[in-house]
Amino acid sequence: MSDVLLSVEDLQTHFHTEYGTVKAVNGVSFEVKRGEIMGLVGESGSGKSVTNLSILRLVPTPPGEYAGGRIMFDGQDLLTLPEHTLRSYRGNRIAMIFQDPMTSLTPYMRVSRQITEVLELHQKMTRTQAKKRAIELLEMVGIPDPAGRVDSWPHEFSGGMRQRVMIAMALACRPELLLADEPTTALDVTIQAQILELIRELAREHGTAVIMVTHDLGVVAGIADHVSVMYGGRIVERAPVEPLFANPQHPYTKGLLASVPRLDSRGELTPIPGSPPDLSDLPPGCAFAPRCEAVMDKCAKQPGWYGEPTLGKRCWLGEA
Amino acid sequence: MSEVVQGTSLWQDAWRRWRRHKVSVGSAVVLTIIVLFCAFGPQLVSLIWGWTYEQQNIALGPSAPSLSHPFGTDVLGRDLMVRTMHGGRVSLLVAFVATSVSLVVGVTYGAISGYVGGRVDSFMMRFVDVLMSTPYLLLVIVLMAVIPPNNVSFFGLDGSFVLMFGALGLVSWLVLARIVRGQVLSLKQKEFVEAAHAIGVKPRTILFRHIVPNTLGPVIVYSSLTIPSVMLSEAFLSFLGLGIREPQASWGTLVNDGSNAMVVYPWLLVFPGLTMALTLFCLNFLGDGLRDALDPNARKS
Amino acid sequence: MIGSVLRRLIGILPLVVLLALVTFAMLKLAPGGPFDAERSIPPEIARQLEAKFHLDEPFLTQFWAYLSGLADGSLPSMKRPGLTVGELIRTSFPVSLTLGLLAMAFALLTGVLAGIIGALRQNTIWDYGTMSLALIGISVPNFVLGPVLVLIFALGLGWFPPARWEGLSTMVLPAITLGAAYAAYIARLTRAGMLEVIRSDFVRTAHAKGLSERQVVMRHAMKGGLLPVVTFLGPAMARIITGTVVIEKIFQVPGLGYYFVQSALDRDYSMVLGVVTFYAAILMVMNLLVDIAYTYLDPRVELT
Repeated sequence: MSDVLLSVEDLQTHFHTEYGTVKAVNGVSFEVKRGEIMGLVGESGSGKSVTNLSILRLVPTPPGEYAGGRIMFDGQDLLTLPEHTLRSYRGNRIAMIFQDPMTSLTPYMRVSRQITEVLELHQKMTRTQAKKRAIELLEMVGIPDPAGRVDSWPHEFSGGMRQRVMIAMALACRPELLLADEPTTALDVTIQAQILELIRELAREHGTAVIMVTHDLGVVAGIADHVSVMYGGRIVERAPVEPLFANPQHPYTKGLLASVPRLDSRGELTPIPGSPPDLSDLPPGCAFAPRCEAVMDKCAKQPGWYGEPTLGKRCWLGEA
Repeated sequence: MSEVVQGTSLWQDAWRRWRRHKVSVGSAVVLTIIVLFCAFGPQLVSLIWGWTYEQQNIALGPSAPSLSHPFGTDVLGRDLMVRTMHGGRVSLLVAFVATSVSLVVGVTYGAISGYVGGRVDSFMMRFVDVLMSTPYLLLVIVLMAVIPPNNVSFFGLDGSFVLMFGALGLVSWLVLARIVRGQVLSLKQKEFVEAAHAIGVKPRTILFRHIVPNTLGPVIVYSSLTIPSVMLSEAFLSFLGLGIREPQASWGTLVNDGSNAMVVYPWLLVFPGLTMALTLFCLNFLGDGLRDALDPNARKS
Repeated sequence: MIGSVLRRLIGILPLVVLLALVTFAMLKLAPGGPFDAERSIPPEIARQLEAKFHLDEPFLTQFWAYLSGLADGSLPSMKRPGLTVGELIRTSFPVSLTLGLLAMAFALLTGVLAGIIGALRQNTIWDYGTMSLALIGISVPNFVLGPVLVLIFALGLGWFPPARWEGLSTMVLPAITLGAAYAAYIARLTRAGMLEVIRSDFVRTAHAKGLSERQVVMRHAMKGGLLPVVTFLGPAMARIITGTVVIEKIFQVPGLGYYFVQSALDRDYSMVLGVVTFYAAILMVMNLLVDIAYTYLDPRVELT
């Protein structure tokens, strides 16, 4: 068993729209080890959610297209895996928590059934076994009176409770890889801490690898081992969590950190000027150049990757 | 750059989208041809051959399509092409006027209901619900059957036309009222309405000058689909012998006559039936295209 | 739930009475009476007839007499001696009901199937094929379709009898003719509804669970995708009921619609009033059933 569970290599996910081809993911590479939690941060529209969806091949095609690259999971390329094999991984070996708890649960199905169907499908449980397990799962994610509420309809739950149901569904089969898309944005701070602790525990005890997509740097600082920063469909900086926060290298990462309130500094917040790039009309050079304070002539050319795969940046600054 | 983007208004955007909907544009062209065919055809025919829609030729009787009668003739020897054109005039006129009636009633009703809101709104909408669940066409049948057409006349038109306009217009405004109400409900929360209130514009002016024009998109879409449905209802009533009366003709009456004689004189069914079906087909396609272009919710991703 | 159903059922009664009143007023206000056409009737007999049908009494008394006659079905026909409203409905409504239900079954079966195929195979030949067929179905009036079907399948191929109502094989063509337009409409509604649901977040969640496409569609997407169809069922019932009028004329089916038009043309006011009121009551009950079905399909909706 290799230590590296997931290795994304030069992934290209494009969307063909009436306004041209949108390169939502434009050459993304990273690795995630077992038991490792990777934070994937960036503004909305930077391609982080599409990266996550691509791993489970859930991008609708058309208009989407996997235009290139490989996604190696435990030695197999998920992009070329036969549909039925991939299905046996989905929700089982690889699970996903979606962003919007209000719309991500089927409104016409009881909560219990939505959890038990995963267990029946992948773990071959009987209905009674699955129901028992569903109650355990709901208890685990902190739903009060789980036995009494398991048969509720989704609309009878609050947003936070629905998000916890989503999480319970994802954890049901103890996945090896958990893809979480803003899993805690809808939750109260106390619940948020509880859920993050649960994910951390999962990573520690079951060796689950986690990719946590978020724009909340606080969450990343609290839970992630590694951080990848995305901008304009590319990863622009990668580093373990401490060096990234202590000594960010890419101007975009610096800007991102400067625009977040921190307890230890009372300085003013400085937002990044300008707006995110148009992914259907990317400049040939660095996508961040139009907003960058340290922009140089060289930035008109696409910068390469400088540094180690797990500690480096995509920027001309301070390089040859 | 951003100025250019803002410069493309909703309507320009819709126009651009609609023009890409090839079938819809094609339908509009075919419809125009059919309308011209019905509007100016009779004069042309009387110039070339001298036939009119009521001119009989008993001696000739029913004859198959030929050079002098491209669509053939009916049992009384009347030229079927002129009758189809004339029937088209009647059918299109009824459809157009009835749709206008339903437009006026439906938009006004829906706008008031949505704008006033509260109890008035729920009462008005309950009333629409009730009307929707009545077999209204049966009532129209009753109406058409019991009122002698000659007692009514309207700008020199036969009474049966007027009845048809009224009856069909009055039954097809219900859905429209609902659509407009829904639109108004959401529009009245918008900032520009607040702004108009703040500077002291009268409620009636706000409603009809500021809100109603903004509901136009869905209203156009729905009206374009009302026309074919009204045409079908007209044909339906005429088919039952309750609408347009001899020697007048509509597509409904022509198809009725044709279906009675179809085994022996199939052209009597084929030509008016095809013309009508083609028209309805084009109207539906046109409506589809308009909906894709004008209804942001139905827009494809 | 049971309470709401009962409340709605009780609410139907005044509406039916109101509709009967409107119809009655329409008949009364129309110029000319039921016996005007028969000029040969001597005034003495005409007066007797008017007395028999309460035509000489005040408006509301008359209405009450008709209404109570409707309630137990004993209201006599003005034009066909010996026939009562109850009798007419008993003998001819089952025919119309069979025709209507067959047409509805045909429409639902083919419409839902075609709509799902169109949505799942969006922008393929299957999609374009079924949707073009659906547009044709909407555009061809049933009184054109009927004769054409008869021409092809009855007179041409001889598979079905051209008319009459004497067993299952005679019901095929009328039911298809009546149901075709609704099949087409349902196909379009299903396709649109399914397309919207298929793009929704919860369907993506279902895919992420590893369910097969079939399981995703059947368990998660179908209910939501069919909601627009269920909403359409109420108005569709109303239109199918009025539609039977035409179909029964084309195929010479002895149903209630056929007699209704005859009665309207004959100015047989008691029959007209009876049939309108009866159909109104049926429709409102059907609408209630549709609403109940809706609450079953969508747990967020409650019966009001």
